[in-house]
Amino acid sequence: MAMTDYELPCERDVDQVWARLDAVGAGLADEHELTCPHCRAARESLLALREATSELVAEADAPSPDLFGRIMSAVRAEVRRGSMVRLPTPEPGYVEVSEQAVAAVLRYAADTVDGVRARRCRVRPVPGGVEVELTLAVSLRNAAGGEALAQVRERVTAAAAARVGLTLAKLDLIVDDVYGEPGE
Amino acid sequence: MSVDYVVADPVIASVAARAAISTPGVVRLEPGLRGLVTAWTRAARQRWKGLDPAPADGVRVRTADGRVTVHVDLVTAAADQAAAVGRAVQRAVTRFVAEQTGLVVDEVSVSIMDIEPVAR
Amino acid sequence: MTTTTPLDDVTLVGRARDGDVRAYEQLVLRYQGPMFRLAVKMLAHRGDAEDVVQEVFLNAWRKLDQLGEDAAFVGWLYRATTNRCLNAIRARKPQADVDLDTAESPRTDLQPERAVQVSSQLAALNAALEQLTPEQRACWLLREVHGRSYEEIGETVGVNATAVRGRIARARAQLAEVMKPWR
Repeated sequence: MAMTDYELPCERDVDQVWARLDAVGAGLADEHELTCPHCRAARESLLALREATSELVAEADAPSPDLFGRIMSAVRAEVRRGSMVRLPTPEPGYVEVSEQAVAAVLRYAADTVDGVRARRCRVRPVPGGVEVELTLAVSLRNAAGGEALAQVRERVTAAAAARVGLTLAKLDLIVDDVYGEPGE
Repeated sequence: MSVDYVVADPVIASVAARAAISTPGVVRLEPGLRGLVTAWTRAARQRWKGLDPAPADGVRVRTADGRVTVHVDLVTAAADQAAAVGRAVQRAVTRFVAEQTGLVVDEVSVSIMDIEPVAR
Repeated sequence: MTTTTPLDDVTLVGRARDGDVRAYEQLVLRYQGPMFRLAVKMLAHRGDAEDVVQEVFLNAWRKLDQLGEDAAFVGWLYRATTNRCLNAIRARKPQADVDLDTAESPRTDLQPERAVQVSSQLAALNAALEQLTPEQRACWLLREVHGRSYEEIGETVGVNATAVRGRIARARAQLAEVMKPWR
């Protein structure tokens, strides 16, 4: 055939017919579209395709229920031991906690402040405790004021002591994103 | 000093594991990447009737030059202070091993791999 | 957690990069479905599709550090899934021009474990999809089912947006022709 896959004998192409599907359906067809049998045939096929596509999209085929478990088992097997932070103890031997666990506790504490979402949390052991760098996203209404950040500082410091048993030698809060909340 | 028997490392590990898991604030033992599964042999089990053979994943026992050291990998609950739970495990393991085997543990070390948040 | 609204992707990715397994779980729950749907239409085999999805998420976990921006994660998932599917398809056929044995291949049984009735229209579309080239199929699925933009699809399959448009137009024409012949 001389034509490409998507060119009609009338020299319009399938892409054009596709783009005009709704317009023609709404009664806005031009002279050519109303009379050309090739365009009409293409239009009908494309409508059938569009309908079938909607069915496909709605199908929402789901994987087997154990896929999630298989993925997470493999992921957990690879969780790096990572760096550990020493905790005080009078007993012989040592007690340590993973930086990752500490970071999760501190992020959770920051999250409890309205309009704040913790993103990254870097924990660095130093003599006597840890230095923490906490990256946050704040909602628009918090972007200007420092009250929310003061609350974050308070709750994170308290959580480090109460939930872990660590003193924060330093706490740096970095706001690197702002998000809108419903209604803003 | 005469000894009638040698307490096998797996036995110590099992006792230590039970002590750790029974400590308030401990959610579970977590072997992590370096965890060793200590074998619980039939012979050792028979020597200690009444002891449930508990899985000792996450517990490592080293006996060398008469020194016994125990290391435990575990997960604590967020409701309790991690450091306090760690110390409690150190004491519980020492006490339990002494009670059950007569052995003195020289050092108990605890690695808290994760802190589990409160159930939603 | 006391937060009532689910966390956004960027926040979850940031935490997952920190090593937060629970955050990664949320990402898997959110995206395993879409990735599976893409893979199963590409490969026409549920078991193969699940294997691809598993590999994609495990690999993503390993490579989180190398991800440019937290916001690039989902695009990364689509790219990895699409490429694994294309590679798997290439590995099936020793010669590029041999596709006549699809009727005998067990993989043409498009829904091997599904007893659910599929409408004849949908069955026709599924069959038609199999007749596209893998590259056309990928572009069409990414656009029509997954709503990706031409630019995003271009980045996913490694061609420019114009080439993507062309592939989708050809795919659309061919699918329409199979659904209801007009030529």
